[in-house]
Amino acid sequence: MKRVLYTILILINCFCTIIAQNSSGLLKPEKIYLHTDRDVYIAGENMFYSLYLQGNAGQMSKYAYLIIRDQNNTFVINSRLEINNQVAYGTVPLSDTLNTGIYQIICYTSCMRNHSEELYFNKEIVIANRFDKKLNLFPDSLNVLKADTSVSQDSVNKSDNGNLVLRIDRKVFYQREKISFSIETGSIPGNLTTRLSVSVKEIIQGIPTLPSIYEYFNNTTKWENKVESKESLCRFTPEINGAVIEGNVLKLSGQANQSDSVKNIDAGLPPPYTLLVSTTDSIVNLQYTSTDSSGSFRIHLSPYYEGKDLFIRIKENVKATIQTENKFNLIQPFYPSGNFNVPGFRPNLLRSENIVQVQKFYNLQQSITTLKEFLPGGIVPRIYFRDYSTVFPSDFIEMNDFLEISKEIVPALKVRKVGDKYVSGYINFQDQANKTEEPSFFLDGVPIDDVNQILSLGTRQIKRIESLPFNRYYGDMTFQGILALFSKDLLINRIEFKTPTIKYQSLSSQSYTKQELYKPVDVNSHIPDMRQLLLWDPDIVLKKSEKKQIEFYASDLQGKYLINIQGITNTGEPVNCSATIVIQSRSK
Amino acid sequence: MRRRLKIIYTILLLIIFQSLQGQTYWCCNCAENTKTEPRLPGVLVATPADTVTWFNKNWLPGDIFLNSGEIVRNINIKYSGLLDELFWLEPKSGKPVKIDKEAIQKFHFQSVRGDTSVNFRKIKIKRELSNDSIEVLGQEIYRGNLSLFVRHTFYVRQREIINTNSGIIQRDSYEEDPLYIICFMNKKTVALKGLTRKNLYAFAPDKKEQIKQFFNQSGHLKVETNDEIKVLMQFLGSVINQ
Repeated sequence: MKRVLYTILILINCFCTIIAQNSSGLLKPEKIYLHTDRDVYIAGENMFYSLYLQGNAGQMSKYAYLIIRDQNNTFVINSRLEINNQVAYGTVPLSDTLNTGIYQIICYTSCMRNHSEELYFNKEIVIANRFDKKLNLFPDSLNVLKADTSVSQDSVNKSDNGNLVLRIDRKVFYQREKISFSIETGSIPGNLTTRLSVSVKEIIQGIPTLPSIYEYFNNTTKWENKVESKESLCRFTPEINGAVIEGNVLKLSGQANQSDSVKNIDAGLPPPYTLLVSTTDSIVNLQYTSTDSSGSFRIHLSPYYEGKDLFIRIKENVKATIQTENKFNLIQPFYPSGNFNVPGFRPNLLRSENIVQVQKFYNLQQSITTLKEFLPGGIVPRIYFRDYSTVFPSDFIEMNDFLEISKEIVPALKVRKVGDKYVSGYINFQDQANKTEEPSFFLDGVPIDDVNQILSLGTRQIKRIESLPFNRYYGDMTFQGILALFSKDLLINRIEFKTPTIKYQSLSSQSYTKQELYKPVDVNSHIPDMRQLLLWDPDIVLKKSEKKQIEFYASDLQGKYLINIQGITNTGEPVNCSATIVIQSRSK
Repeated sequence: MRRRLKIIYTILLLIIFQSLQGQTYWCCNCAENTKTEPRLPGVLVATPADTVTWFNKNWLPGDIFLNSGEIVRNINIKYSGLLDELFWLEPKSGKPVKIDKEAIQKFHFQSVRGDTSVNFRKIKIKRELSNDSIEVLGQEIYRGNLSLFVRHTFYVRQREIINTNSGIIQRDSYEEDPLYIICFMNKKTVALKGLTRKNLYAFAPDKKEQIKQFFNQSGHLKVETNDEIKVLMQFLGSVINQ
């Protein structure tokens, strides 16, 4: 009896554990893999990338953040990438003025920020300044370089590895020869659409090869034992439906003023505050949210606000500061691994520098095609569509200030002096219960505090006045009438707000760009063709049982080249393959 | 007995501990909790006092689809046929707010007397004696090659001047005068006073014989029920080339 009871209890134990694992197993961690065209660049060149995201179907992040930082942890690039069908691609121009050094590329989503930074995608690259001929960072003897054109005895008509099938006729090609190969999905199960990126680059001997997307995504040890509490996982909002601004309102102590530092923050929790988000426009626009019990706020930003300078304000008159979360905040410093301190690397780098000099001399720049631009757009979050009356002060005789304008030409509005301040109100206002409340004022589309901030504006400054003497609603926010002024010189930028206000530059996404396919005008041209990157195409879509033919041209540079293909299926399965080819001189 | 109970409790505690350990939370568990609600723009106005001109006398829960692509779900709404305006019962103040028509794309009542398919959509129609077009809210009766909308318009049937203690007041009695709007795929619209044989002949004069045959076969003089309307619209969609 005892044995039976124990066995049942143990079985229940196992069952519960499995059930618990299954319920959480419905959600997988988000993983990012970044395929770059090369690992070594000369300052002034472009870095091409293709990003792949693996996550939960229908719940994947829309944006990823890309950072390139140097050994001093200074960010040289930070951009937002927009993910479409689990893929994003584009170009990062590496500034001409970058110092020679080892740089780190880091890529993550907002969702991934809830976990350890170790789970972010990271990779080291070398950027050399073409005027730095000493290259002290890479101590090495200046060996005389000889192009490695030896042909391995491998089979020549199939890929070296990976789960895609790459077919190529030969392994040895001549300078400037047209090269073609085909890709097929092969034995990958299911009716899939696969998105791929292809790079064909010169192999630099000694540099360790990075794991393929397949190896990276299937390296389960990296993501194992990363158990976190549910609370800490909701710190950063996943950007599934759109961009999110999040932050905190920190209440300052009674004696402090707005310029005081955060040291004076009250120990008590702040009450819920209303945060207003708007931008300068010829239309009154507004989004708002409230802080939670801990003073945190998050707002799903309307696409209309993307890439614009925003005003984020607290509606209530309170001594507090607004702190927004920096999407590009990294805690762990970067320490180079030393992977590039390999014999022969320095002369290789010098050779690349010289090649870029020659390319520059002949004005042979990499041409870039833009396939998709993410321009700010979307519908304006309007708080009203029709105004009661529009007044153009320039239609009347010149008036020096708003006091005069309100008295003479704005219907129903009354401004009067109470003590040392002016107050305003609409006469015969419908909601007599709230008639003590002033109307809401907007300047250049942005909410301001009260009429006192615009009193000095006269006919010369004001372009247009829109008046709505009604009790208006915008969600659960009420307005005891609205008066919107539009200035001639965007005077909103000169307004001093009474309530805590910050200016926030909202992010915009990088365009989808790729390198234009190189097509020689004349194969026998005397102009040297010294491309180390023979092909970069991040926009290949392969359907099930489709065979994709890819063509490109060899350059004058002899040596070994790597055809590297990485990609992802529409079900999130990583795919890859690679092959090595050799470019030889025709005289051999 | 007590010893056995102790062992059982220990094992049960182990079960709970292990089950909790089995739970690995990954980000996105909290994604849905943090969605910002779309905001409805509107104005506080006095609503018509009568009960006749409302599509729904009482506030009913519904969903509003905004032009911005956002959806405001499960709010109490009321549609006035007389004003052709949608009202929302603002929950904080408990006051009726007239929603700006410009912001609305369509709205849907969750249930009107058990009918869960009551949809209204904003459509553009031409004004009489004018080249301007206006946007109105029409109840979507049928959606296909040819779509059919009904505008719940009213006319003043009787106007009374009544003497009361507080003065003279005017009392109007309204009667519904629905307008049927047939919408083509290219958004062109044609308004009909009723779905009668005569009106349909005028709508499609070149298909007069086919329409006549349809009515003869169906045995109805007038199309009234939703099912009859659906059959008629399917027939019209099949015979009228767009």
